[in-house]
Amino acid sequence: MFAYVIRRVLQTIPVMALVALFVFSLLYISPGDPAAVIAGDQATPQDVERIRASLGLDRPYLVRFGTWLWAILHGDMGTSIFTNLPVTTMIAQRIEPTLSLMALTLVLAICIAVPMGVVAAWKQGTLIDRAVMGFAVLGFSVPVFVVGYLLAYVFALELDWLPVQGYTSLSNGVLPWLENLVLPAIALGGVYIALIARITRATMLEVLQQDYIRTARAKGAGQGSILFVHALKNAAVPIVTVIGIGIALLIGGAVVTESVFAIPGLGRLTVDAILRRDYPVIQGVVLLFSFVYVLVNLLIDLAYTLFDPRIRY
Amino acid sequence: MALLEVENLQTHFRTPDGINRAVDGVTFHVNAGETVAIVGESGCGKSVTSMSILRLIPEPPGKIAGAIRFQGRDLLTLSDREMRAIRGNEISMIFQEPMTSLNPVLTVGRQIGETLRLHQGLSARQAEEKAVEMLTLVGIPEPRRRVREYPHQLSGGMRQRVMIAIALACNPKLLIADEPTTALDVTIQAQILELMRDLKRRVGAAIVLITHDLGVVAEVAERVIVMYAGRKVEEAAVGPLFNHPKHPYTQGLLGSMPKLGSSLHGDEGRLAEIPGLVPSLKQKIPGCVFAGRCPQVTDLCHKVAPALEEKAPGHVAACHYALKDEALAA
Repeated sequence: MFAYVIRRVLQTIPVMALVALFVFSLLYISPGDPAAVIAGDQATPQDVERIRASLGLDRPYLVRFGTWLWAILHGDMGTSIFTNLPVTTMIAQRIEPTLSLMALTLVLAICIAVPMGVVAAWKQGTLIDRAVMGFAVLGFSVPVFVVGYLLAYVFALELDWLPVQGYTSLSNGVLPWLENLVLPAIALGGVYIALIARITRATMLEVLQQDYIRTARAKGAGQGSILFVHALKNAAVPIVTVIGIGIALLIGGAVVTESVFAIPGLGRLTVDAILRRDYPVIQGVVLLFSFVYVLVNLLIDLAYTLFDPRIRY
Repeated sequence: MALLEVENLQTHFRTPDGINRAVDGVTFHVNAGETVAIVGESGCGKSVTSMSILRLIPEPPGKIAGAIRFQGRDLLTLSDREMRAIRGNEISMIFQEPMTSLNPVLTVGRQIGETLRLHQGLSARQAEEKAVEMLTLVGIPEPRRRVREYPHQLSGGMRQRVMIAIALACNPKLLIADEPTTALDVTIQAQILELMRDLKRRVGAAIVLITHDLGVVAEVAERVIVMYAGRKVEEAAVGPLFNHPKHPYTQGLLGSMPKLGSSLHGDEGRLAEIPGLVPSLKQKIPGCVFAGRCPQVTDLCHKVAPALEEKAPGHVAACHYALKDEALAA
């Protein structure tokens, strides 16, 4: 087990290195000159040249990549071209809202989607099943921003139950924090719920056909115990896998959701950085997201052993 | 009163192309402490009969009709909750596939303990203690270690022992064993049969043994019910059935069994076979269900279904031409 964890951690190194190269190159080859942007409309070519040199943009590609990577390995993601603040500081300032949003969405989605899928599988072919599947199609096909504006309109503007937008730090109390995050989390969670519910239903349908479910029934086990103990634990591996893959959906969706609900998180930071061509910030954020994704999937691989004793590393 | 009385049991399944009459009017009884075998080839409805007794047939598409009286109570009229209190407690079941009948992600101890916790209200710790006892009873070495293991760590024979431990944990009055030895090696089969016989002596449960293996029947059963195409075609004590089978189907079954020491060459080397296939259960068969494959078939057989008749004391068969003992004597 321990050896496996070490091996898996080592395996993430080339993955992260590739991501780093990609992130670095993407901005290198994208059009637009940050030196010119910073210098502004009035600048002379000499000014632009000076700024370019100060940013190190005039040096060869590989040298720049090496320097950049070396600095990152030492916890230095560079300095924002726009604000002159270290990128790590900027990320640290913005990380709480995003982590809050993603964590709440994750918990909410799992708590809603898994029971939905289980019940749909149990009641296969009935109205309940069809309602769940209909909802899943809806969740897939309606974009986050539509759901977001709709929720904000109904629950914040019309009913006035919840704030329209903004974010309150968890340090100001759980309730205000929740009030601000519930609508964004539901909006962001739609696709995720749909995905998890579908996989749960499909896997449960298969598991419920198994001989050991019949055995459980023959033992006199109740329906709840059959569904949530005997069957769900057997269905857990694919469900957990899809939860992990879905983290990517959350990261992408967080960017849009934060814009819709004016949450000052990493998503907003990313959008702003892209609009300003703030290279170091873009690179830092993308690297961070990739790292989170790789880490989550490592944890999920390890979580398999909790659900299925036949899986041993 | 018999422990179990099954009366005119009809288990039908609705399918896209018509109704499948998997079990069509089967009547039998099981006395307390008795071992009754139900035999027949694949698809004759013997498994469906056994699942119907515990109401494990999914409804829909299944539909169970008739009466199943256990200690005088008709199981078909009980609520789900009352039925759950009987399953695994007063009537328990062992299945054919030990490899897939145990839950792969729960420990053996938990699976044995589950019935005890459900029906006897034991705590988790007491249930585990009892599970260790049950594993000892079914002859699994190192029960304290095994109780914490998962099914994939056990061999097929051991898993079937675990199934038996689960089934017997609550001292049931009736044990239904659906092909309990079919998936096992011959040597393990013998061990499992021996174990069942031994436990039956100790616990005193009646056993309904579903099998297509006539060797197993001869070894453990006291009474035999032969099923064909969803109906009972013959029933007798094990001795008379093997020595004087009345129904042509039973005669065919016995004839298709290899005998130890018989030669592979010459006339006696060839095993008798029953030509043809089991008829589709989707149409109502007007005459005898076996008519299509019977060597002694006549026009009457195709037109009129033969009733179950007592051909000798305690020996019934559904055949127009199986002679009664008195007729033979005359």
